[in-house]
Amino acid sequence: MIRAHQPGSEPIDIPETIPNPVVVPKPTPTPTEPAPKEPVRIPEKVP
Amino acid sequence: MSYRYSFEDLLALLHGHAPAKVDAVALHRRRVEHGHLSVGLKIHCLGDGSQFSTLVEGLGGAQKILDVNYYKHSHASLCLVLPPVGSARSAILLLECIEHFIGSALFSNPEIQIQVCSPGRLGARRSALLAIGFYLGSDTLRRYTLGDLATSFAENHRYPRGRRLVLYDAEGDFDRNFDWWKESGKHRLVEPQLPFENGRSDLLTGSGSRLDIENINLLATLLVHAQYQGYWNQLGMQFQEEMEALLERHVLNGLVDAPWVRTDDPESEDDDGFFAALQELVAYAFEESVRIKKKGGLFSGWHEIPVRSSHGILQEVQSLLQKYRSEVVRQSRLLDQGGRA
Repeated sequence: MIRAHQPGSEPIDIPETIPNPVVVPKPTPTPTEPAPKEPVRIPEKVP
Repeated sequence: MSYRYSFEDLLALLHGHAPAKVDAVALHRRRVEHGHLSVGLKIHCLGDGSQFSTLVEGLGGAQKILDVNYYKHSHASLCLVLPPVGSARSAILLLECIEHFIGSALFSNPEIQIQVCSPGRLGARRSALLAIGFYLGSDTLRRYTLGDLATSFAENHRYPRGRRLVLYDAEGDFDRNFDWWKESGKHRLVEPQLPFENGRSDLLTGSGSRLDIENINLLATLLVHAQYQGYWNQLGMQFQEEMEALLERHVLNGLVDAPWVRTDDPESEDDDGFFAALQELVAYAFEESVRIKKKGGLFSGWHEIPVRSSHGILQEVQSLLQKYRSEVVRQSRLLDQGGRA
């Protein structure tokens, strides 16, 4: 934030960056990494 | 661009944290989409860079992969050079893989400055259009100080680059092995190599976004093809004319004459002349954003308004970029179907 000071006045906050108002924000990409695989369960042998 | 590690080593390191994305990057690394230019990236870290330490060590250590590059942002603790890839999509994926690995954001992070590198040196006027198009098309409007644009090559005696948004290369390593779409008579000829032995036009985005990478890739493709007679030459020339007409409508056409890139021409040395033009552009864009906000929801359908409307420069640039993005894809698909675009 840049602060512009003038004697006798309140400091004015000038933002360094602002969103471009005409850009439609894209949704944040959802994670596409697959979840860790479940361990393979080997059924116990029935006697 | 010197990076002194192999792409395979980088992917192997990243694989454990983002396997699906790394596989996609590995598969499509050299794939060029619709004749766009390849994309190189440099990551300047303005913080202490500790989040990169495991990655840097894994690639061979700072001495091997960082210290070989004298070039970096003046306020950066490190500059990580990434191997070039065939498309903006792969470049974004690669950055996402690194985000997974380091556990912190690279996009829209004020501590991270992304430099997007495009093959081919653009002339002064086209460099101006690259920078102006990037600025007005970005999802963030930024204010700059001249110091924000200082790099270790600003005053370099051999390759003085000044303090600019657009910077030429310093004749380092250059990977030519990406397809180049060339016009041959009425046909498209796909050359397996770029037509430049060396030479890049880089853009220092500051805190950059995915959209910035896509926009810079599109702008650079159109402008480089216009300059070097690539397949998109005609479209690039048309874009250049439309962009210049747009600036003229807003009485900003004089900005293009400022030295947006430092070339061999001694007249381009004037950092202050460039910065005055940049400040004028910034002031115009910020004023317009205030005007749009005051008008509120009137602009919800901005994308449906034709490019030549007088609904403001920010909106016009978005429409222009969208128009050319769609046109490149449309013509490229026609080619794939066997027709002449």
